[in-house]
Amino acid sequence: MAIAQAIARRVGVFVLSLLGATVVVFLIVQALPGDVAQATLGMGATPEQVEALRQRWGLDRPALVRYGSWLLGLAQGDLGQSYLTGQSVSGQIAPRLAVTCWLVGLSMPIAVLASVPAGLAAAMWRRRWQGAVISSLSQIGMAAPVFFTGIVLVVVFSVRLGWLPANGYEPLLGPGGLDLAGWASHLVLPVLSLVIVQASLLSRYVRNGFVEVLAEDYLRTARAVGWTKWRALVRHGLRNAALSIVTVIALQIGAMLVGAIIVEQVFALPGLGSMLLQAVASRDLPVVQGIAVLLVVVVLAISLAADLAYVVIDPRLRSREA
Amino acid sequence: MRRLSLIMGLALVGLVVAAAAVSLVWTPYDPNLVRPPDRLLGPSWSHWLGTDRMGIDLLSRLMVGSRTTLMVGVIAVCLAIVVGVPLGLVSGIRRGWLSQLLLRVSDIMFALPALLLAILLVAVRGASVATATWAIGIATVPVFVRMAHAATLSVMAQDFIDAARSCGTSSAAIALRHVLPNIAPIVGVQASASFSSAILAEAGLSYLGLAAPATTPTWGRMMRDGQVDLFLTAWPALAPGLAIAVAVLGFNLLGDGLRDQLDPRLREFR
Repeated sequence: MAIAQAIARRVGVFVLSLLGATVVVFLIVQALPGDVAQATLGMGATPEQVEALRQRWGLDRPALVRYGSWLLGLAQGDLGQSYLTGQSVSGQIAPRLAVTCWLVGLSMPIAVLASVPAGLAAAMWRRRWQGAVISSLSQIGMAAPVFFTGIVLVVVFSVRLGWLPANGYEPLLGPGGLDLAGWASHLVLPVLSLVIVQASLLSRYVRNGFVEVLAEDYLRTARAVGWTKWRALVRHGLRNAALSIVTVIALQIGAMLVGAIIVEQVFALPGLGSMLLQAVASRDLPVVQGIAVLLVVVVLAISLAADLAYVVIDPRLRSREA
Repeated sequence: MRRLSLIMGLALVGLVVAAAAVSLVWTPYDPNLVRPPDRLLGPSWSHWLGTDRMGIDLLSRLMVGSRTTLMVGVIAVCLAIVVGVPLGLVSGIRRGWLSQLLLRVSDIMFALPALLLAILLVAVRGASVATATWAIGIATVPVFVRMAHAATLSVMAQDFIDAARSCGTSSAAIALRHVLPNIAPIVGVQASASFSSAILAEAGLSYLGLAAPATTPTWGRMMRDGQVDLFLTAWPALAPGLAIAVAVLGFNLLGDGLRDQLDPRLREFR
């Protein structure tokens, strides 16, 4: 019962945050000074032309009405119409979304899988040179911006070795049927760029999660009953490390999505990020607004999932909620 | 080992600050001087880091670029501290519905990454360094609200606050005289960490072409321009990238070092 209540409360907060986020995005895009219609038509436009365009885009309605109809559309999965093409934003997003989903969906689990052994080794050898090497590498991976990492990878694997394409994208299911090799070869470097940055950050927290456990009495007990240090640490530390991972993913998901936007630019991938940047360049505000809301919803949903995962991973939270 | 990160952090940050300071009075070449015959030269004695596709000396441009990096960082982090810390302080001392609302709003803003906020603002107002700085600053506010709030709560639970209260000290006086000095060190550590995030965000925006115009030398913009010639020479794209990494690493290490100095309990874990 206590768990159900805790979950219900968190879902409630999620829904309210979602509403709040739509207000924030709407206010930024729509309520800031500047007349889009005027800017689109240029200085030479007559006031009548500007007014006509404002009417066509529905900008002559009060802000509250515009927000209401936008929100109503959002609830039905309708993100509005592009100023530029007049097409539905949701329809344009769908093919782009696949690219970004592959990018983030592949790099996240790989980063998590890489960071656990790295963090474990760094914790185990924290007073030895091996630990120092791992920690230094993770510091460097965190400091290098993702586009720098990406460009270094291109220099090594595309320019010098010529193994992989420097940019572009092939869909998995192209016009010529299933193209696994083409698809994968275009995704290796972008995914690797994101993995390096994310795993560097994650492994640092995983390491601290394990190190915390090293100081616990129950670890000494496990050692006393004859467990090896590694076995005890893996057995007892993994849960603590899992908590760290969930925390960091929840905190960093926004940064990771932004990283994906930048990586798409580095490798000229036709994903959500490049669509967003094109829309910004042409001031296509409904598209910008739609993608921004989509990204924020993902961030909030992941935070909610992390909150719920805490309850599953950490039994202490369950009793505290009661 | 602990002193090491503080010393290395100070050294790297010092390097960037020194480059910015020297660039005010001297650079090897004019950072905007276009010399087509000298384009895409490799590193040499006359051009330490080589030249870009316009024949501009890369070192000169990097030095001038460090000014933008530091300026955006300083302004954005100061903005975040000036707005965020008082809000966190007040919400930690007076726990009413207003504080709750404040925290909720800052949670929502927290879901909006600096770069996304900047992209939104750029879409409306057009690309400029000023817009980027504002966006990064605003996006950093919730970080300081949360941190100051949590730190204030733990200070407010101390006995000396009860003592001050029982002597009739007002809330404002408690905030200024007792809470603020106690949370100031944590604010400093967070400022260093936020500084490196701000540098990364600015570099990312410039790289995406959403901050500075091509005429203003910024590290991210230089990488964007350098990437075009990647198959001819990698240096114009890699040099500014290294500069960004050095600056970010410097502020990260400085933050780690400061935290270890301030909180001996955390030392065991580093």
